[in-house]
Amino acid sequence: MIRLENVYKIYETTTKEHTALDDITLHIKEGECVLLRGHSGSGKSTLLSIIAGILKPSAGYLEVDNVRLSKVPDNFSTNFRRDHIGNIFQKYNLIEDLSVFENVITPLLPTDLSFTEATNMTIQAMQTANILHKKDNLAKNLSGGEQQRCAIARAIVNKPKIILADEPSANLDYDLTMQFIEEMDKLKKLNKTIIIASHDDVLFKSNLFSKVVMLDKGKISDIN
Amino acid sequence: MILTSGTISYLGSNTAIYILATVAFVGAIKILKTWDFNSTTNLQYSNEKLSFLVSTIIYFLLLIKIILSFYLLYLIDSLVPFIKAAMCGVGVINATDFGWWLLALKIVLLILFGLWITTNTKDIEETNYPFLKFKFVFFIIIFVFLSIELFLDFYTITGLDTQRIVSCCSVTFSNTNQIGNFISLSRDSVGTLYGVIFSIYVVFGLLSLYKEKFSTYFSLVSIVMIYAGLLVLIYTFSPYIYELPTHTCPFCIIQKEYNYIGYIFYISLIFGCFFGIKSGFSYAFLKKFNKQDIVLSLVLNIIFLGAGLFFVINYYLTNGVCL
Repeated sequence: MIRLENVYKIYETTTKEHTALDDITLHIKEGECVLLRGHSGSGKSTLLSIIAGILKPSAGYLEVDNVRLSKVPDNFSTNFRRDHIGNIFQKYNLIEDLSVFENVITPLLPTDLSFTEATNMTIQAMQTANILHKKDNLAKNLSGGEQQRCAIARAIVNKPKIILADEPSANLDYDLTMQFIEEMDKLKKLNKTIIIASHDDVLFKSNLFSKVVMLDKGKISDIN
Repeated sequence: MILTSGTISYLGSNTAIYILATVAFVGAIKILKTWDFNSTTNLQYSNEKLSFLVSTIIYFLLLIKIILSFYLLYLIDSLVPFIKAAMCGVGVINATDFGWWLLALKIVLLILFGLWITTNTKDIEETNYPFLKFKFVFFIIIFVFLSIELFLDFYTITGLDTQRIVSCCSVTFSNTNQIGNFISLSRDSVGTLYGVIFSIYVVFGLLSLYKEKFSTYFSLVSIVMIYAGLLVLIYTFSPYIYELPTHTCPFCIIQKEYNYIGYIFYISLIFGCFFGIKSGFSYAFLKKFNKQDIVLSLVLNIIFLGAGLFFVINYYLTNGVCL
């Protein structure tokens, strides 16, 4: 499903280079739920961005769902991301002045779907993420947990095979983190491939993950 | 040299574009030297990013050059008052050494720009850069022409001789003049020749719609059509537009007095022939056939012919005779 071979990511400035990922080789099967663990600056977010096709590796090979994502031009990786990947961000990145429904339907607007089809898919995603009852509320009036569920609904609205989440529990207390784990468990049962980058112990101790990848200074230090 | 806001902005724009083209040229050379699509090294990924940048630069500058080429026609026409005895752009060009060559080169470059943009469009539709090497080699050839063109642009504009007494268009394109003798054909003969070439062009166009392989022949006939179209416009249609049998000129028709009708002729002819050339080029080099190109080419050339015939028929209906 996801195959990384000898992936490097080097950020270059005019004066120095910083190696964010250093010779990463990782295989993730379809339906697996993977936790990327490591301290701040260990390369978790960079790795997620590369898998999502947001960043290109500096060297190495990346294949996602049989597409050589590291080799395709940017316009194709954008379309690939739109069609195959759902992203959940640390700060949710919701548009505050739009309603929950409008936020969730947004990723479907640049597609060929009719408005009726898009609406049906949006309602389905809000149901799955348990936020349908708030569909007309503005995003800025939601609680932290509700914003999280709205972000999950937006991430799954295009029915992606892969869901990526970057520090999803950073702004959540224990109860809300447990709710998030339940939501992810539901998606796991739908055979979604889920990759979560986090250093949160609550997530680590849950039995959500089939694989835990430890990152340290851009290298994989351990895989359980 | 004539310094007007038009000449300064024209030369300034062309110089700026040439500098951009030089950047793209260096980038294209670098990419061609080290390109290896199957490689996953840092160098290859840098090349892929660079190729996107270089292609974007070339695409942008070629689009601007297309606009500038038509602006040159307007510019030449605006310089008429500065040249002794000049009545239209023909007089201005006659006051230069290589003005006619520059115009011919502009037409060739317009076609080449269009073909490069076609290649680039096809290349970026695919995920594996199938025409990357082809399009950058193609650009290097265009760059050589761009260098010659920039030299001719400067040589022509800065070398305009305001003291030279030039011939007007009717003399330049009369049958006793060198250019007139070059074709050695009367007005009616030019019309007949155009009619024959146009018929062949239409036949190949229709055959191409039926079988793709004929598009190669269609594109070759389209090249001939540019020359035939210019001849028929100058020698057959223009006297009817001017309503004067001795007035044969490719430039007066772009003046306000004739409602800028020349732009319709030139745009329909050049773009019409371009789409014809493009169809065969795409089929032969890009392995892609597009019926729309053939249809567009035929429609534009029919507009060209129709516009010309309109003046002929209108003259006949008004005066009861042909020129």
